[in-house]
Amino acid sequence: MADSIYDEIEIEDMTFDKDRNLYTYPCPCGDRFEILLDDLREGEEIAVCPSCSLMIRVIFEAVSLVFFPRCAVSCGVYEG
Amino acid sequence: MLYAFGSNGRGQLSLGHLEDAHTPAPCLIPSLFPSVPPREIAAGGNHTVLLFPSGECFFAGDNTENQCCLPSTIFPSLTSFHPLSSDHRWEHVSAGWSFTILVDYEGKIFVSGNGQKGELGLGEELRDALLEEIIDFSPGKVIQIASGMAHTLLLTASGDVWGWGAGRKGQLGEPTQSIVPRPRKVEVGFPVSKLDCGKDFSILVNRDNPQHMEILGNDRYRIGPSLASWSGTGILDVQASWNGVYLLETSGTIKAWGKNDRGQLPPPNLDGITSIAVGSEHALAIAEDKTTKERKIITWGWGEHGNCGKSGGGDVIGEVFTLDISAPENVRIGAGCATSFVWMEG
Repeated sequence: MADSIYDEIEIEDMTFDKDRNLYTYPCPCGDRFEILLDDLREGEEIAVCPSCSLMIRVIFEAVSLVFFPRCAVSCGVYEG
Repeated sequence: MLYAFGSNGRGQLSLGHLEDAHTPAPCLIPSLFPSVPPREIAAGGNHTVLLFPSGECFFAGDNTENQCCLPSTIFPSLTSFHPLSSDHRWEHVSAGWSFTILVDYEGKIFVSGNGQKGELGLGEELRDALLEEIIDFSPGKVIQIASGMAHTLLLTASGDVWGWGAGRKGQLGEPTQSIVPRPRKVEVGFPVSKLDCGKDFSILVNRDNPQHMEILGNDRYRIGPSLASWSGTGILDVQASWNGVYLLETSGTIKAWGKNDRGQLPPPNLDGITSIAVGSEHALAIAEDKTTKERKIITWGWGEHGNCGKSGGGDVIGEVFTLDISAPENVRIGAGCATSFVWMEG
């Protein structure tokens, strides 16, 4: 499994798509890795690219998503 | 003749459709396309820019953010190269994820596209632009411009470096700032002769001592220390992939460091290399046989979208793949996000 993780990306570097409740990050193929905020909250940490086999592990503090979702969201949008 | 292969979901290969190409396919080109080789082949996340010595520019691919310098309402995507009609003669171009930077022969700097992290250099509030000039910025004669995923560096004839965009990893120097919304001087401590941008790092070559190169920003693959111990004859070219640095040495050999989980680094025995083109996670090179002078175009690295030119797609790891097209004397190569381009005379 470890071999298939292309990269580890801090959530601060990801973009939050408010309409889709989704964190995204550019993939070297031109598409974007995606993971739902709800999945992150449930402990999922692997974001996948819809167009290729690459995946990234999202680095984040679970506590910030559970207790401070607004902060985590705004960090993704404005602090990256 | 222009060929392209690789990722084509937004038409960035200019093939007239949105299907990937696994082997070199002839691009659709407009009737007024110059017959001379392009001066630059620049590629963003999903768009491609060709700049010709005449100062003409052609765009293909995703234009939903105006990154092809045309109004997205009329041209949301371009599946074949479209000229940029303007009064400007363009001298330099660079492309980032969803933006393009153009410099004209008067030294004016224009930006187009979208950037949430200062990529446009137009200030904190401006995140969308359609070919807008960065005003109140006159750095002097520009000799090179380069963009990573979300940051841009501009090099002047005096060896000064200016940068803007995402800076959270220190890729725009000190002080580290998440967003550098307008061009600022990058203090590097030496005059620079050449530079390039990786995904979230920068590489700068010291003009006074080309053996000395510096990495700014994310260096988790410890490229900086490797460069410090490099002692080659001289450098013809320096390029960065998303996670690596490639030196073309005057001896015709390549030295490279960085991420290597998909064969991104070339095998050690390559020689006779006359030029390189480094994409996000793959590369192309032109190799010339010392005795017969025959040229071939080779590829290696991550090739899932067919961007290494292998029929059926796939990575090229620990070896190189030779493209099944002959390479005349006048040939140019380019590479982007899983995209590859070959221009040749004829």
